[in-house]
Amino acid sequence: MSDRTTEKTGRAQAQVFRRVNRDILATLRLPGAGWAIMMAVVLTVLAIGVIAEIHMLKTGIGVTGLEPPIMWAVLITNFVFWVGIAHSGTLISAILFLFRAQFRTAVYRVSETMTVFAVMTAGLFPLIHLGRVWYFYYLVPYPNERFLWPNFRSPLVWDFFAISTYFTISSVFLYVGLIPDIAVARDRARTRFRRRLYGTLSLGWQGTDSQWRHYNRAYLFLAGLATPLVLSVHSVVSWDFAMAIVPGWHSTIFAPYFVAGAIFSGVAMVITLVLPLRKAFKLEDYIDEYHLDRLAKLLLLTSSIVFYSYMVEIWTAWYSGSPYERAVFWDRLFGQYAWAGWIMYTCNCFIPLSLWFKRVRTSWFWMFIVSIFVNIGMWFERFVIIVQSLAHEFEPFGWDYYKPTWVEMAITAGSFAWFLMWFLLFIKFLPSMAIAELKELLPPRLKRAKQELEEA
Amino acid sequence: MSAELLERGVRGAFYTLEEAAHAVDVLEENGFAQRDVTLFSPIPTAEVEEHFVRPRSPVRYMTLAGGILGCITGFALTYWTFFAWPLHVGGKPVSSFPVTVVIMFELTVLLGGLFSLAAILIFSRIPALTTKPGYHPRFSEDLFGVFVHTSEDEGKRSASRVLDGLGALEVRDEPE
Repeated sequence: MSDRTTEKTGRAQAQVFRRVNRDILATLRLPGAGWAIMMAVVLTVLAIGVIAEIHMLKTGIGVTGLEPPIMWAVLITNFVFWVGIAHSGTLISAILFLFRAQFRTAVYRVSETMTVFAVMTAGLFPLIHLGRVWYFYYLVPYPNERFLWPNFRSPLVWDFFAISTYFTISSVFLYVGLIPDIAVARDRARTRFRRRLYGTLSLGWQGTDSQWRHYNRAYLFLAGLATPLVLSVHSVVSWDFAMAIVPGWHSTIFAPYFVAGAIFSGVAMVITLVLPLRKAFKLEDYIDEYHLDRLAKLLLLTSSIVFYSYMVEIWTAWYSGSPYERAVFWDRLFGQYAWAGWIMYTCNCFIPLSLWFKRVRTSWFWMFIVSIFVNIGMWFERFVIIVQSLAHEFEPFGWDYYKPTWVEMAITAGSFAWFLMWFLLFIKFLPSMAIAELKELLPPRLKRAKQELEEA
Repeated sequence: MSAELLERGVRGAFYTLEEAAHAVDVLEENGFAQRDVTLFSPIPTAEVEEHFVRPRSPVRYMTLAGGILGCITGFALTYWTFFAWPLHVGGKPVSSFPVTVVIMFELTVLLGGLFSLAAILIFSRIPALTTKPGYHPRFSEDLFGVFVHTSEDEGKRSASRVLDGLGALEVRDEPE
C-alpha cells in the first residue's frame, strides 16, 4: 500500500472516529422537551408508588391483598420479574463478549445499565414485602451480641448473597466499561461542571498502551467471572421456590427454566429501551436491522426454551402421578387463574413465533410490539408461578383467590417509574453506547461510510 | 506535519494504530528503550501488546487471589456460623456442605471481581490527578499518539527525526 493510500485510509478512519464521538456524545446535550415531559410523568408515577408505600408502612401489610395461603404475591412477582430483567444485561455484555459476538457492541451499554437499575428495583421488593422494612438487616451476616447468624440452609439467604454479588459485579462491569468513554466525554466537555464530573469519573484515564493492557485483561476476567454469575443468580432465585414443597414449585427444572426466562425477558426489555433511544437520538447508523435481527433471534431462542419448559412442566406434573401437582397445572390451564396462564402462554410462546419471519425480525414497529408483549407475558409468568401455585396448594379447603389492592398496583407502577427515572438520568449524563469499542468494531453502516471516504 | 518538541519529550500523532505501532518498533531500532515510549490509543489496543515486550499483566494474580480469598471466606463463614449457633433438627448433622457451595461460589465471584477492579486501578495507575506528559484530548478521539520520554536535547532531536520520517502529525486542538 502506498503512503498516499495509507494516509487516505487513515484520514477516513479519523473522520469516522470523530463522527462516532459526535453522535454518541450528542445524547449528553441538555435535555429537550420530550425528555422533560417523560421525566415529569415518571416522577408523578413514582410519587404515587411512594405514597402507597408510606400508606403501607403506616397502616400495616394488611392493606395488601395478601392472606393465607397466598402470602407471596405481586410484590414478590415484581422482585422476580426485575431480577429477570437484569439478566440479559450481563448476558449481552459478558457472555456475548466471550463469544466475540460483534452485534453486542452497540447495545451492551444500554443492557448493562438496565441490569444495574433493574437490580436496584428488584432489591426494593424483598424490603417492601417485609412490611417492617427496618428489620431487613436480619439477612446480613454481621457479628451481633447473641451470635444469631442467618440460617445458611435458607434459600432466602443464598438469594441475599447472590443478588448483592450480582449488583456489585454488574456495577463494577458497567463502570469499568464506562471509564474510557467518560474520558472521551471529559476531553470534549464544554462546561466546567461536565469537565469536573467526567474528569473525576474517568479517574484520569488517558488510554496509554499500559492502561489498555491491564484494562483488557481485567475486563476479560470480569466477563469470565460474570458469566457463571448470570447463570447462578437466577438459579438461586428459582430455588427460593423450588426448595419449597409447594406443588407447582418443587421441580428440578426450575433453575434452567428461570435462567432462560430471565434472559428472554431481559432481551425483550433491551429491545423496548433501545428502539426509542435509537429514534430519539438519531442513532440509526449504530443500531440497524443487523442488530435488531440478532436480538430477535436471541429472543426467539430463549422463547423456544421457555415454551419447552412450560410443556415439560405440564408433562412432569401428569407423569408424576401426584394429584396435587396435576391439580395445580389443571387449574393453571382451565381453572380460576386460567386467564393469567393463557396471557403467559400467548405472550411468551405464541406471539414470539412470529419471529421466525425475517420481515418481523427486521421491522422496528413489530419488534417493539413483540417486546412489549414479552414483557407483559414474563410478568404474568412470575405471577402465575407464585400466586397460582400458592392459591392451589394441597388442601382444597385452603384454596383461595388473590386480588391485588391499589397499594400493590401503585407500588408496581412506581417500580417501573423508578427504573425509568434512573434510565432517563443515565442517558443524559453518561455515554449510552461504548464509544471506544464502537470505534474498534465499526457497525456495518459506518464501515460502509469509511469505505466510501477511502474511495472518494 | 511534524513531531512536536515538548518539555519532557517528543510527541507524534498518527492516523492509524498500525502506523503508531510501527513507529514504536522503529524508535526501538533507533536505540530508544521501550520503557521510554508511551502509545496513546482511542480504542482498546490488543494488537499493540505484540509490539511491546512488556511483562504479562499481573491482573490475573490479583483476580486469582480475590477468588481464592472469597472461596475460603464463604466456606469459613458458613461453617463457623453452623457451629457458633448449632441448629439441631431431626438428628441431622449441624453442618451441610452443599449449602456452603452457593455462598462460596458467590463470594468467589464477588471478591474476584472486586480484586480485578482494584488491579485495574493499581496497575493502570488511576485515579491519576495529573495528566501524563504527551497526552492530548485528540488521543481519546481520532488519533493515535506516540510519546518519547526524553529531556536531553540530543534525544529529542533524534526522536523527532525518527517520528518525522514516519510521517508523524502535529496535534491540533480542532480536527482539520
